[in-house]
Amino acid sequence: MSISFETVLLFVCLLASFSVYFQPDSESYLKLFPVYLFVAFAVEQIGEYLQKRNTPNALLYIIFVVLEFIFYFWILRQIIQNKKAKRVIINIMWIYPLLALINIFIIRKAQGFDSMSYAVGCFLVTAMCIFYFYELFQFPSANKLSREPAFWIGTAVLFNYCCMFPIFSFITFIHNPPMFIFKNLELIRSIINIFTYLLFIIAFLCRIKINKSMLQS
Amino acid sequence: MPDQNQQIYVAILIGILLAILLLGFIFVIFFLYQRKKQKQERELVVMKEQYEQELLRSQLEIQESTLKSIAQELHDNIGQVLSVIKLWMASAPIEKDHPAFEGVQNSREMLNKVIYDLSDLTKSLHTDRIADIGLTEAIRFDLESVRKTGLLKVDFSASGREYHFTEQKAIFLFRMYQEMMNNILKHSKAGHVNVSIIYSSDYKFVLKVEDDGVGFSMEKKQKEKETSSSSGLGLRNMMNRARLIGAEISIQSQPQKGTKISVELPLN
Repeated sequence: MSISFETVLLFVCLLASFSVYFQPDSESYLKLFPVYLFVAFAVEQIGEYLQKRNTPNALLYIIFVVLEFIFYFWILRQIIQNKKAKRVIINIMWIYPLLALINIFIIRKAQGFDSMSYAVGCFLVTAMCIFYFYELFQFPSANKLSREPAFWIGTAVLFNYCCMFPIFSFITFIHNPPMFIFKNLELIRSIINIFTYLLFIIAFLCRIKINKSMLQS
Repeated sequence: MPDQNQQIYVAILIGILLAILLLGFIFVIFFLYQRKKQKQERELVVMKEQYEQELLRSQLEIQESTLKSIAQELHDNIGQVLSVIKLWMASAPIEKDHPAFEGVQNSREMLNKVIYDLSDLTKSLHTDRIADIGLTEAIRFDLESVRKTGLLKVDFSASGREYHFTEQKAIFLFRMYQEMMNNILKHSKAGHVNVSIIYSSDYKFVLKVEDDGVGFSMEKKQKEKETSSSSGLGLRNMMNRARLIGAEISIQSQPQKGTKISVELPLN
């Protein structure tokens, strides 16, 4: 049984995320992250298990992707301060899954990966991240940026979906990609996920202060 | 095997490219954020300074207006009453051989002195006069009053072509001068004071006040200022006024060696 580096890092990220429960003044969105990462880890394991048994696993990923987008919408809603933007995001949080599920189950009849819903989700998350960064520059906080979990999460999400968007758009145009293209795209996806998990780990641990005395002991 | 090697190369290349992209993004964000934050901090400092200056200006304006009201009241009310009393006393039919004559005469003299002092006080409190006669004349007049008291030997000199300050600047400079004189009279035990005003050719106004009094230790004064909020209140007022009009104050003093205070203000 071979475990990929991506899966190991996801597990490390899950472990690191538990640290937010022990940090004082952790935001509520940070406290929900371990749950999300646990679900992501479980989905990965179940997906691999189904793949090994030659059982179709696309539906599992399709539904998880929709849930993932809802989660990121919620996270960004918590991070963003603007009340109008928050109101828009809360509406997106129910409109997007509704349309995505209609597209997946009624229009596409749950056949294959729904890249249209994915592309829309990517676009929305990216737009929210850009708004977060815009807001960050408008009202710089008193804290150091490197100690802001919101910044690292925003960067991770923006990086992930900015890079994933062209990949999945590319897949949409090629119905049956040759194996080498598929492998390379899978590789790029893995690398992007690795960087995303690394940024998440930084987000969970950035507030922990290391004293010199702790290092010496 | 070559296929696997190629895949590793591709992975490394893509990884490096993505890492550069990510790090570049983070670096740019950090840089821009820091710049924005510094700009905001600078703006905040300027705003705070402006607010403090505005607050200070208001405080001093209120103080000035209060002094003006007091001067008005002294002149219109108490001054008038004293003048009426003086008239009554002058018209009182008391002959030289009357037992109360000497007492009444003394009272008249004292009353004259009170009216005279009150008039001086009113003039020093009222700021309209400074605008009317100019700063140099206002200081000269005030020094004349000090000289008349006989408490101090006073020297005054003014050189250069007089510059007409705005009313507020002239008032602030006059109040600063008054504070210096007040300190000399109250604390210095000086016998001689030298006041000079210079309107220099390089567009600078200099007011110098020197005395031969007991002086003070600058370090000790600084410590007192830090420990007690009431200590050096007059000096602080003077500094505040100077800051508001853009003047610079320099104080030189040593125990038993007198004090030299100079106010420098660039002329626009």
